[in-house]
Amino acid sequence: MKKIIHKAYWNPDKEQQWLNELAAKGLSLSDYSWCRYVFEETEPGKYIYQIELLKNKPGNPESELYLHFLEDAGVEIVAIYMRWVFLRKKAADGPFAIYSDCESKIQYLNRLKNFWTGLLVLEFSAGLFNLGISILYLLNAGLMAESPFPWVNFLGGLLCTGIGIVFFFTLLRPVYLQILKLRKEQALHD
Amino acid sequence: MTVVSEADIVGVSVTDITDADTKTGGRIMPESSERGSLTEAVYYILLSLYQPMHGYGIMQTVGEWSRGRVILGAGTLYGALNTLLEKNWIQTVAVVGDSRKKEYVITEIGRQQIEDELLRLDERLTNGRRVTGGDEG
Repeated sequence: MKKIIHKAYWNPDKEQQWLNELAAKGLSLSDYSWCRYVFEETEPGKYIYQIELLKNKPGNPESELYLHFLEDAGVEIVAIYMRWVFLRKKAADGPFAIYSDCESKIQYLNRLKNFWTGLLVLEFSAGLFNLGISILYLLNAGLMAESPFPWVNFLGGLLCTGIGIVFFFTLLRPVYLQILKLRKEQALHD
Repeated sequence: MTVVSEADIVGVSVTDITDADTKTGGRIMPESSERGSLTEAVYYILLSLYQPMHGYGIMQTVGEWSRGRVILGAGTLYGALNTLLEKNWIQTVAVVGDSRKKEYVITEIGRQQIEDELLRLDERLTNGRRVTGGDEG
């Protein structure tokens, strides 16, 4: 029996937590495409899920090598969406974490940090550019009296800037704090 | 009479730094720091490769040896193997009948790293036992 759930997540940590909660109840993810999760019914708690951001695009030879390695190591690749991969392992085979020591965890978090930073730069430039247009209109209101206020730019800019701020606090900042924590930890342990 | 060597305090290893790190302006450590301790993951990976083995085998072996304490993540193992290959501490061996599946085995340089590590561990253990009173000698 298949079950399809349409849902939008922007935070992969939350998404992973949700998938694992459902897997514990017997709904195991079997495929993903944009905002569309396909589940199969399995015995509760059969799988543990992990979401990872690949270093390179999925078609890249290096990514292929890595994904083959994961499969050889007993990890099942459930779905690939852009640079994101949904991985699972049978819970009976023990705990499932892709990275097991400080250094490799930090390396992965740095990859995430760069990814979110890139996204944020896009959001803020789009947002501030459009807000800028609206402000420019207000400053020169006299000159442009006959053209109407650029509502599309104003609202679009406001939206992009807002999304940027939300992403900063929910995505980039937690990753950054985790890196700091691990660096401290690393002074004591592997 | 407590003797603590500097190497024990620092305990840093460059083995987890990959090519990508040095390219992206990550921390580059001088060659001399190669004399520092190996990380636990690297130590156990090298040790398991005295027998040729593929990725999954390494994870299993290390898990058994440490009685489930050291569970290598597949991503961590992948990164470590690539770094060890670059350093020529290990090499790949062709697997008959399966061109895709790779096996790895330790090299002479790798064995030397293990020998050096055993000396360091021995020293740590001896000092540790002596100071904590577990051993007279």
